[in-house]
Amino acid sequence: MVYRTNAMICTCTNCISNGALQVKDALEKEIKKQHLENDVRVVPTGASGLCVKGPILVVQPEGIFYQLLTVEAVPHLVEEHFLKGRPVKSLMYVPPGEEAPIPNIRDIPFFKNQRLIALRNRGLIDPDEIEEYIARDGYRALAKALTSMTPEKVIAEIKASGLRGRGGAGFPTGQKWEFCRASPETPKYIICNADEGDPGAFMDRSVLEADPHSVLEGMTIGAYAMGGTQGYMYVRAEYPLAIKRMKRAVEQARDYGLLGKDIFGTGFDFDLDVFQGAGAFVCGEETSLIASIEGQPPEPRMRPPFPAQSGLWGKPTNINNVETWANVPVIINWGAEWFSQIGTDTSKGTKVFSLAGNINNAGLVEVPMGITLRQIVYDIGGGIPNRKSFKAVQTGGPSGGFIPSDLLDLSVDYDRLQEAGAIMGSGGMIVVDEETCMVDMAKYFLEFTTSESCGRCNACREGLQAMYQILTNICAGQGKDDDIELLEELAPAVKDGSLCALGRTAPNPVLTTLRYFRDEYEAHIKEQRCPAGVCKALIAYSIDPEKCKGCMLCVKNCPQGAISGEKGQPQTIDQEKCIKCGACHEVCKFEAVTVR
Amino acid sequence: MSKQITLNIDEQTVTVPEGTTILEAAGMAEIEIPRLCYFEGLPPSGTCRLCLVEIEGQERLAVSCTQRVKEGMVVHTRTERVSEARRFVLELIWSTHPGDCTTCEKSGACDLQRYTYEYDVDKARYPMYVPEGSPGTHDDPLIERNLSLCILCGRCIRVCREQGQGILDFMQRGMATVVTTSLDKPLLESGCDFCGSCIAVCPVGCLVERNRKLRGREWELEPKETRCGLCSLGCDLVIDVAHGRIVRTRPGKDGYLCVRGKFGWDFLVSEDRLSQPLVRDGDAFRECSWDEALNTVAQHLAKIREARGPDTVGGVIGGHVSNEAIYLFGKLFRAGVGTNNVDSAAGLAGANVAAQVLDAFGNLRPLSSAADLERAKTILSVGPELGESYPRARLAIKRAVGKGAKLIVVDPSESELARLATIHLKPKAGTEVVVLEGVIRTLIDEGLHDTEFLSSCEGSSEGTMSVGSYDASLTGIADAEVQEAAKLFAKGRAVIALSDLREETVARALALLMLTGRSKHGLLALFPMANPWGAAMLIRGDAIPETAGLSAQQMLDKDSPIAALYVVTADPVGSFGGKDGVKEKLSSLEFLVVQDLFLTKTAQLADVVLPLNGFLEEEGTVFGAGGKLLTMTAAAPARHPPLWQVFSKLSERLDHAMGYRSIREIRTKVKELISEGKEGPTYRFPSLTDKGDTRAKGLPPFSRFSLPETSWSARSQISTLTPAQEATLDSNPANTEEVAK
Repeated sequence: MVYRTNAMICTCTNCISNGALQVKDALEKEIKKQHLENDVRVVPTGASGLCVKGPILVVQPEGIFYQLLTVEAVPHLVEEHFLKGRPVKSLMYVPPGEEAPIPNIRDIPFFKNQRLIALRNRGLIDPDEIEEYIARDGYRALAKALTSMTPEKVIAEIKASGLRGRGGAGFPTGQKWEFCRASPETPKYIICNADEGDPGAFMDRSVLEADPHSVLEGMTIGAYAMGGTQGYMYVRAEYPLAIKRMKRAVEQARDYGLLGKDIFGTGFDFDLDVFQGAGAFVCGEETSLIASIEGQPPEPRMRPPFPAQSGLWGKPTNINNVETWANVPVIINWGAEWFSQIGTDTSKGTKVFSLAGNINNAGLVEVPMGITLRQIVYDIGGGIPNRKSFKAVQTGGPSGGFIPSDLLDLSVDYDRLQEAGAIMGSGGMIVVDEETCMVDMAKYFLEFTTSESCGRCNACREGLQAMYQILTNICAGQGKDDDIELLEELAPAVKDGSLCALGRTAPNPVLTTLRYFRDEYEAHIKEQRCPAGVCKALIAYSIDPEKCKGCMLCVKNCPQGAISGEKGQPQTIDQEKCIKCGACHEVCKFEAVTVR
Repeated sequence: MSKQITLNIDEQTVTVPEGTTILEAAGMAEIEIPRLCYFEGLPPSGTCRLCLVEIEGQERLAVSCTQRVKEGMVVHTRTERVSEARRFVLELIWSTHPGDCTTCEKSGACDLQRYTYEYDVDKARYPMYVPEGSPGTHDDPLIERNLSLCILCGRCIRVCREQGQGILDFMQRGMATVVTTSLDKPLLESGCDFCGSCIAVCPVGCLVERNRKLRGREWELEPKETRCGLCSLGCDLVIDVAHGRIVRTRPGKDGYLCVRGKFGWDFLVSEDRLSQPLVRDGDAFRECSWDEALNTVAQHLAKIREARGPDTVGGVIGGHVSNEAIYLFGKLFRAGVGTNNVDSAAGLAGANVAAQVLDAFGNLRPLSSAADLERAKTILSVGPELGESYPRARLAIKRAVGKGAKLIVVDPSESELARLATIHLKPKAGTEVVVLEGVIRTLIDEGLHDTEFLSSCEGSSEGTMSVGSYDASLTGIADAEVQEAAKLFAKGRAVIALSDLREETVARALALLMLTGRSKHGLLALFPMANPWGAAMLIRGDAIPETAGLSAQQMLDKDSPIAALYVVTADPVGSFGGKDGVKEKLSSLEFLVVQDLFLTKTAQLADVVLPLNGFLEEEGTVFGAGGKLLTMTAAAPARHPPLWQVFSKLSERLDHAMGYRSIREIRTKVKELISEGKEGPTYRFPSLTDKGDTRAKGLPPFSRFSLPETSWSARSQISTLTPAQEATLDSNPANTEEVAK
C-alpha cells in the first residue's frame, strides 16, 4: 500500500507520559472518519528529540512539525492538514521570544543544528518493524562485515575511526575490542551497557526506544570482530518500553536470520539476551554490571584483570555503551575516514546529550564533537526560560562537574571538558540559571552518590558521607570556617582512594563548584547568606515598599498568614511566622518580593 | 618453581615468586603494610584502602593487597603521601565508629586502635555520622555482633565463605551497608554453625565471644597452643588464659575451629564441676582430701581382691584422656590389681574400629587425617549428618569438592553434605550397610577391584569374601545408582569418611579400601572423643595376666562377676538411661569409684567420686585421626592431680609401685609401643580381637577380611545411629547441639 502522507507520531516514554498514545488513537480514528485511511498512515516512532514539547507529530515527507498535541486538537488538525491541506499554525513550534511559527522541522534551530549518527533513524521509522530499519540501510553494515571483512579488518576500521566509548570514560573502542579479541579463552561475551543511571539522562533509553536494531547490529558486528558468541543487553528495569522494543527487535532479528546460528549463511553464530537490571546506579560500572548479570550483588571488582581478560563468569567480556554500539554500523557502512572527519582531533564523531534543567528546548540532541556549549545552550536549546540568566551547565551527571558562563565557548570534547573539571560522561547536560544555589546543587549530587555508593570501600562510603554532611551543614547555615579547606582535602582523597569510578568521580560536582563558585560557599559560611536565595536557613523574604502595589495576592497565597498590610498599601512579612516557602515571591506580579 | 621477580621495597631488594602481591612481598621482607580488610589466607578485596603504597612511575597510589609485583618495581610504603592517605582512611572510619575503647573487649588487640595510634589520627576531624535506627547488639547466642563497631572490612564474610558456609554478606549499600545474615535473620536461623571464624578475623570489637566478656582484657591474656579434645580430629587450638581462667579459644595453625572447639569448652569453667573428692556418707557425699579418697579406694579394691579374687575387680576409662593416662590405667589393673578386666569406654561408642582396622590390615596405616580428606579426589561419606556432627570434616570435604573432588554420600537424611554430593545414596534408615555391600558387589562383578593388591596380601583372596546380591527393595536405592557410585569410588583413590561406627559398617568400609588397594590414608573414622585410637590400643598395657579379661560391655552386664569397678570419664548410666540393667549392675556393686568432671548419673551411685582435669588442663599425647601422636599441653591451670599421678598412687597403695617420676617417662614408654613411621603408625600389641592373648606378636600385613554374617531379616532390625545418640554415649557435655542452644 502506498500512502500519500506519513503521520509520524513520537511514542517515546516522554511523549507517552504526555498522552501520545491517546493522541495516536484519536488521530487514527479521525483519519478513518475523514476516509483518509488509505492516504495517511500513522507511524509510531521514538525519540523525536524535543521532549519538552511532546506529544509530537511530524508529517512526512513535507516535514511539518506539530507539538504539544492534545486529543481535543486532533479533529481540527486532521480536517485542516490532511483533508484540506492547510497546516495548522497554532500547533507549530514558535522560537522563544518570537511570534512567527516555524512549520518545517528542518528549519527549527533545535533540529537544524544537530548532526545525527547514533540517532539517524529517530522519528523516521517504526522501531517495532525491522523492515523499516532495513529500508534505511539496516543490517547492511553487518552483511558487509561478515561477507567482505575479516574480524581484524573490522577492528582496524573501528580503531581508525577514532570512536571512543560513549559511556563516559571515552576509552578508544577499537583498542578495547582488540584486547578482548586477543584473550585466548572462550566463550567471549558481548555486553551492551544500557544501565543509564545519571539523574536527568535519557540518551540510552531514547536510542533503544527509537532504533533498537542499530544497537543490535552494532553488537553483532562487535561479536564478529571479537569472536563473541553470546551477548547481553543490560537494561535497567525502569525502562519497560525500551525493554519491550528491544525484546521484539531481538525476536525479529532471529526470525530474519540476523541473530542466532549461521548469520547471513556465513557460519557465524551470535545470540543475545535482554537482561533487566534492578536499578542500582553502580551497575553502570562495568565490573558491577558483570557481577549483577552473574546474580551477585552489584559490587565493583578490582582491576586488573580487566573484563577483556576475565569478565562475565571469568571469561573475556567486552562492554560498550548503547550509543557506542549504535555508531558501529555507520562506521562500517561509511568508513572510518568519513567518520573521523567529524569532530575534533581527539574526539571523533558526534555525541548525544539529554538537555535538561532551566532551558527552553529540553530534549535529546546529537551534535558533532567540538561544538561549543554556547551553541548547544542557545542555538539548539533556545536559551534560558523566564528571562533568567544562564549560570552554569552540568555535564556528566553525578560524576561530572559544573561549567560556568565564562566557559560557554568551550568546545565540547572529552579532553576540553576534563580540563574544565567536568567529564563528557554518558551525555547528561543540565543547565542551571541564576536562581540555582551551587552549594545546594553540589549537595544534591552528593546525596545521590552517597546513597548510590555500593559501600564497599571506605573512601567512597565514608568520604562521600563526610562531604555530604559538610555541605548539609553549610546549606543549613552551620558552616565552619575550615569547611572549604576540609572539602578540598576530602575531594581529592576520595578520588584517589576509591576502588571504582563511582567514588573516583563523585567529588567532581563539589570540586567544580568550589573552583568556579567559591564565592557562593564563602557567602554561605562567612556571611550566612545564600546568594541564589535557595537555602532556607539562610534566606529571608521581604517586600519592597517601592514596588508593592498592595494587591494582596501574596497575602492570599501565604500559608502561614505571615503577610499583613492595608489594601493598596505596601505589605510586610512577619519573619517569625514566615516558613520561607517562596509562595509570595512566585505570585508577585511586580517583583516586589525579594529574597536575601 | 615459578618465575622469580625482583623488586625494591623501601630501599630493600626483594625477590619473590611471580604472582605475589606487593603486600605479601613486603611481608617477606619484614615490612609490615597496615591493612584492615586484608587477612592472610583470605582472598583480598582491596576495599579498606589502608594498604595503599606509592609505586614509582605510577600516578595513583596502588592497593598493595591486590596489585601483583612486577620486575624492577620500586615501591615506597612509608612516604608522607602514603601516610596522609592512610590517615585519611582512618579519620573517615572514626567518623562512624563509636569511640569508647574503655569497655570494648577488643581494646589492646584492635587493629583500628593500633593504627589510629601509629598514625596519630585526629578522630574528630570529620563530622560524626550515626545512622538512623543504628543496629545495636544482636541477640545471638555465643557470638555477640555489635554492628555499630563494624568497619565493613568484609573479612568475616570472606572467612565464612572460605569455611564453605557463606552465612554473612553485605546488605544494603552506601552508608546503610551492614554485614549480616540473609534477610537479617538471627544467627540461629541463618544456618550459622557458630564456628566463630568470623570472630577470629574481625579486626575490631564488632564480633566477640559472648562468654569471654568481662573475663579479662586483651593485654592480660596468655596464649597457649594445644589441641582440641572434643572429637577425634584434634584440631590446632590456642587458648587464652587470664587470672587463672580460660577466657577464650582461637583456631591455631589450621585456621579453623568448629563450635565445639570454639565454645564447647565452656563446661570446663562451669560452677558445677567437682572441686573435691567425695566419699559416700550414707545417702549423701562428704568432701574429703585426695589422700583419704585414694586410701579408701585402695583399701576397698584390695579388700575385694582378697575376698573374691582379682577378676571381680574391673576398670573402664573413656576416650577423652591421654595415651599416658590410658596406658597407666591398663597397667594399674593388670599389674596393680592383677586382672585383665580393663577396657576403654570408647568401644561403647561404636564398634571397636581400631581392632577391626588392625585385624584387617595389621597396622593403622589406613587412617587418614582431615588434611588427607582435603586432598582426596574421591570421597565416600558414610554416616547420618556427618558434616553437621563433624564440621571440620565437612570443611575438608567442601574444600576437596571445591577443588574438583567427587563426593559420594550415604546418608538417609538430606544433610548439608548430601546437598553437595555428586551422588547421594539415600537409603532407608538402618540399611546403609546394604548399600555399601551393593558397592562391594559392583566392584567385584565389574572387575573394578585391585586384584594385584589383593593377591599381594597374605592369607586373603577374593574367594574368602561372601557378599550377597544387592537388594534394592531393602534400601530403596536403585541398582543403577549404586553401580554408578561404585564406579566413581573405584576411579579415584578414595578416602572414606565414617561417622557410622557400627561393626558391620566399619567392616564393609574396610573391605572397600582393601578391594581398591587403599592400604594407606583411606579411612577417616570420626569419634566424638579425643583419643579413641589410643584408648583402644593402650588400654592393653604390657604385663598381662593369664586369664582373659572382660570387655566394658561384659563388665556392665548385670550377670557379670564384677564386684568393684573404677569408671573414669564415662557415664554408662547417663548414656544407657537405665536400659540393659546397667544401672542395676552399678548399684549392686560392692564398691564403685567414679572419676569425672561432674557428678554424673553414674557418679551419683559411687562410693568414692574423684574429680578430674579437663582436656585443656592436663598434658599428654593423643593418637590423632591420621595416626600421628599429637601433644596436648596443659594450657589452662590444672585443678587436680593429673591422672597419671592418681593411677600411680593407687598402684603404689596396691603394692605395685610403677616408678614413673614424670609424664615424660610414660610418654617414652608409649612411643615405644607405637612407632609412627614414615608410612604411618605401626603398632606393637597383640591382636585386640583375641583379648587375653598373652603373646605379643607382629601381624602380617593383614590376616583376613571376612564380613560378619548377618541375615538380611536381622539387618532390617538394625537401628539407625543418630549423631545425637552417638554423642551422648560419653560423658562429654560438649556436643554440638547442646552448645549452640
